[in-house]
Amino acid sequence: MVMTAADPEQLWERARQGDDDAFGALFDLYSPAIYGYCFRRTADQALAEDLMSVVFLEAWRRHRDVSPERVLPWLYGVATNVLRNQWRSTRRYRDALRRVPVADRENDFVDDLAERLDAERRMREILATVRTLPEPEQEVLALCIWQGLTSGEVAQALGVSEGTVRSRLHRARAHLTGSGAAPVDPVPIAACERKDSE
Amino acid sequence: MSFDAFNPPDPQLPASRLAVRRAHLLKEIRREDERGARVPGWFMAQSRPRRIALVVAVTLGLCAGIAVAAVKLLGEPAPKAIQSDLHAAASATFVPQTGLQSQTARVVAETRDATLYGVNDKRGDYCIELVGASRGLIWAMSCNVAQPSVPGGGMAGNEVATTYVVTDSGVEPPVVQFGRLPKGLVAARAVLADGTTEPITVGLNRFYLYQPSDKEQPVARRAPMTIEWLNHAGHVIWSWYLQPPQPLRFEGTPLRRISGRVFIDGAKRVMMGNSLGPSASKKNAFRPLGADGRFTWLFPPKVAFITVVDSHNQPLSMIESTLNEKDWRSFLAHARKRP
Repeated sequence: MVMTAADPEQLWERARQGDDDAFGALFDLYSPAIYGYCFRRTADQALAEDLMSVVFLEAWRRHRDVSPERVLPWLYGVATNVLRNQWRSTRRYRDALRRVPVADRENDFVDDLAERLDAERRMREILATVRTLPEPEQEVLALCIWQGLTSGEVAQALGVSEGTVRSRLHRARAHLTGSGAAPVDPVPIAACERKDSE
Repeated sequence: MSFDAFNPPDPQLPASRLAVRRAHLLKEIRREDERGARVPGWFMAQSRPRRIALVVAVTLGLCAGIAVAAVKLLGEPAPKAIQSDLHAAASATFVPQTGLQSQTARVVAETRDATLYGVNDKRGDYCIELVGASRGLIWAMSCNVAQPSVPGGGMAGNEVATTYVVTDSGVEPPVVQFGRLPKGLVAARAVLADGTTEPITVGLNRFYLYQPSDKEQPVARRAPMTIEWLNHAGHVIWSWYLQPPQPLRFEGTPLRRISGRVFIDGAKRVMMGNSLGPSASKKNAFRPLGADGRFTWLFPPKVAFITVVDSHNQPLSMIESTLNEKDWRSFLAHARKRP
């Protein structure tokens, strides 16, 4: 059963009551975003797919104990932790990941292999530069600029203050533009901050 | 640089892959639910930190239980200081006892006021030390090579170097008796002079230490008791007739005064000497008791033992070793340092 047009926080509450389908609906709603985030942090689509599953499995593991004000930033927080501790996270769910059907995966990717490889190559190039930043700045950059979260949402995801998010963002931009790795483009940052003030 | 870090690629996972992952996720969480259903509801109703705390508490409890069980089964290792004390005391008291392995020192039995330590030698023989310092001082040392032959390797507390010392507080130590059951026997009990029977808790490696109840202490101080050894069927296989101890006050180094108060039924005097044989009365020294059972011996002879005797000079109390003041104070200080 696929649910649509439901409030994510309501879905979460229903999931907390033990409604698996509500959790499935949350997956429908947010899995593309979480997958995109995982891909942009790893430049590996297969790994990103597994990490996406781990993020939702981890979210389910904690679903009885957590009542987030907003679900998506919280899921990004879970994803950030999963990415920080990839080895440990995937090890915890190693058995579950082994049970993912494999045959379908091959069929899915045969058609768009070239496109996939190109995306991974371009992402690796970007990450080669972005990874020169300290990890906290990488996280803020990815969430705020790439995933389009407001600074308030990023603060919720990372468990830090909004001021910290802003200062990390400015440091990241200064670092990237100063090194010539990125154009001097204040628009994305301004957008991030504008959304936050709305 | 040809790329824009602010505009990374955003590939979408094919719908079929998302469907596979969704189905897999729901299958996994249902599996988790089924597993969770086996866990009590009250537990799952707790918050995660509380569940973790509960699991940690239960785990710690189990570990503590296992540790306690291990101590019960294997005996509590004696601290290093005690191991070396024990080794030194055994070596000093029983010269033939060589090859003691001090690291094997264990608490083998305990009562409220005394502890029995055991230490093995290379052949598996043992020495034991009885120490009690909460009321007066009880000190005894025995090595089985010095014991008379007893069926099954048993041992009775009377056949040892024992001393009951009245310390500065003037408080007498309580009566305790110790021993070791032979192989094949499983229980022991004490039959006191007033007919009361008290069970004896058997400790590690069949050793036991018995301290009569407070109610029975005056009886045990006044008259002998019988320790009975029982088999699985509850039948008495062996019994020991054990004389009561006589607490003594030792003053001076070398000894210049020994005193005490005798309550033992039929006691006439105190005997000191080196021999308990037929000619004992000729070679040994005696001191009469006062009407209240008190005696004082100034500048006593240098002898190996002291005991209370009847009108025929037959021992009525344990055969106790004499100790000069320096030695018993040293034993007391060591004993009080023990945990």
